[in-house]
Amino acid sequence: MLEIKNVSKNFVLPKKKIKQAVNDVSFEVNPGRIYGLLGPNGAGKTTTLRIIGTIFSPSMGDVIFKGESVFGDPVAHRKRLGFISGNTGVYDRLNPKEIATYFGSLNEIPRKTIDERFERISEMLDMKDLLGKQCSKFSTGEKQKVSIARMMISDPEILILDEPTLGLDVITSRTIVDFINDSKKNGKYIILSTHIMSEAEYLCDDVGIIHKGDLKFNGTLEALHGKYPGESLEKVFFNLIGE
Amino acid sequence: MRRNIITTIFKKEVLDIFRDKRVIFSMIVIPLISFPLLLAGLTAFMQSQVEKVSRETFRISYTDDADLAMIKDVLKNADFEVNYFKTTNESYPALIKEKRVHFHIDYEKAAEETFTVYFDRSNTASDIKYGKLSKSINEYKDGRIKIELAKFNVPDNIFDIVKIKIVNIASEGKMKTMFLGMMLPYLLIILSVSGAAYPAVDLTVGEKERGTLETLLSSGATRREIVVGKYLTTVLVAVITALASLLSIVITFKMMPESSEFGAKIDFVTFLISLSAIVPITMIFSALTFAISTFSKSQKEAQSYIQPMMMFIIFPSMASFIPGFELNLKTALIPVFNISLLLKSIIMQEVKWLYFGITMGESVLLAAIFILLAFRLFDREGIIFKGE
Ligand SMILES: Nc1ncnc2c1ncn2[C@@H]1O[C@H](COP(=O)(O)OP(=O)(O)OP(=O)(O)O)[C@@H](O)[C@H]1O
Ligand SMILES: [Mg+2]
Repeated sequence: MLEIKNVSKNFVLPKKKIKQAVNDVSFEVNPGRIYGLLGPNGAGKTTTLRIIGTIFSPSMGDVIFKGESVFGDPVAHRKRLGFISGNTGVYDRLNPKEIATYFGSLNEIPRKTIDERFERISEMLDMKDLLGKQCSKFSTGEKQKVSIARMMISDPEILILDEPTLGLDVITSRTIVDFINDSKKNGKYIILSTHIMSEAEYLCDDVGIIHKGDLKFNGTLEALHGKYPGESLEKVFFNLIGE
Repeated sequence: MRRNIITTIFKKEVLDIFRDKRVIFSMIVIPLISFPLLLAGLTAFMQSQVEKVSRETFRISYTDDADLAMIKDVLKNADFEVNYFKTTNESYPALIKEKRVHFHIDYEKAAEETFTVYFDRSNTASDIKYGKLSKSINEYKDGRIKIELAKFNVPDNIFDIVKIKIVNIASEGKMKTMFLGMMLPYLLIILSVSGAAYPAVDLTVGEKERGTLETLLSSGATRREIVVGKYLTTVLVAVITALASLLSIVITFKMMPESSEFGAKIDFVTFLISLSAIVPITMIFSALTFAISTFSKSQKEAQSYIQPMMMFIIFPSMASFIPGFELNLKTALIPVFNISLLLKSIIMQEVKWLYFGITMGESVLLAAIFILLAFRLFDREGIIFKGE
């Protein structure tokens, strides 16, 4: 189990001003279930995900994975973690295999395993046409496929997906969604942020609704619908954030 | 820090940056072609200037016809041609200003004879011409003195009663090396330093702007491993730039004709020592630009810090031009300044190993300080925050 326990994050801005980006947030992510973090722009989604990925350290609170704080050995934690965001760039002058190999090596995956996995992943993501080409000329969707391949090369236990379908067309989004569902079947810990309600509706098992750093709701999707029967997720969302 | 991770990062960055045409251009092409062009241009220009001045007819104005006769007499043996113009005392300054004449000469005979020469000394061509003109006037003066002395039966050779003999024990080769010793440190420092700037910016804030840094930070590499891997790449690019520059300078000097004052030769050992002396400055500067770029929010901002900082490199790197400056316990401690003087002493074959050691030690220490600073800056949260 992946537990986010009373996590807060304050950023120190210029002139000693403090920005409270995340405020006492707690929730759990379970294997084989998808946790969706929903919230408008600036809500604190990315900041929360970065803390779970040990890219930021929390001002307060802790992140516990299988009983141990992930900040105890952040390198070990990051090696079993895949991180993707909608804004993720790829290295323009490298080809997909070079990128995947690079990140595999950084996670100390043996070279042979990397080669085998890449073969399989590129097939699964239908990347035949992209292989051997430098990424500079790829479309947004093609780049996102490269990012997924880069992430899957380490076969991570935990997937952190920050608005993974940002800027993608329905077809490419479909590929990503299929991939997320596949990972779910394989028992991964999946946490995903989005501000697209319909996406959350058909993907997530558990949801957290975050607004201005506060977690307004945390529970299963059914529980959320039970609380506001008959209303669309969109409507529920506006009710919760009080606008 | 794990060696295999650092190597992985280093290899990837080298592969990535060497595919960047801009890097290849500024690292290899620019240094290789700029010196031959610069020196060939400089030599051609200097020669044409001297030739032009020596071939040109002197234009001299006067006011009084009696003066003219005198001036003509004085210049009758001169090795230049002269055109004379009659003018008035009111208009000759304008003639000089407009470069229609080079000189205006007044001759006056009282108890002594006086030639008053008016000209624009800020005009280099006129100044060179004045050298020739004054030589003719001095010859006339010597002739006059001899005539006066003869009246008292003083022999002609009274002029040679005291002589100065100059023996230049420096070989011609050494004179040429001196010129190289002045030029090379400055050029080499400036080029290798600018070689470090682009990769330092590109690998840090550039990667942030392209949106790949977050992924890298979420990988199994630690931030220090990332800094070291990227830093080594920056140093490598700077050293290759230095190598290309050094090669280009040495080959250009070698290919210059014997007669040229740029025709110095450098042996292989001197070449290697020079190269090793340039490495520390690439280390310092790579570390410094690296820290600055890590601190910056955008590539633009980084450039705006690095450019003025170049000033602090350019001035001390000119130390090699200042005659009389040598490495000693004090100058060996001034950063950049010491490397400039060290390179000069290497080229002149006068290197003192104690100062070599001090200069190297100090440079490595400085580089280490800036790297530690880069470590600190890379740990900040702002590293992946694009700002408001
Ligand atoms: N490194 C940082 N330094 C200072 N402030 C930051 C930093 N990172 C994020 N913030 C601020 O924290 C707040 C939350 O940002 P965050 O990126 O987590 O929001 P988000 O929910 O992901 O929004 P979006 O939907 O726009 O991606 C914002 O106000 C943002 O400006
Ligand atoms: Mg975000």
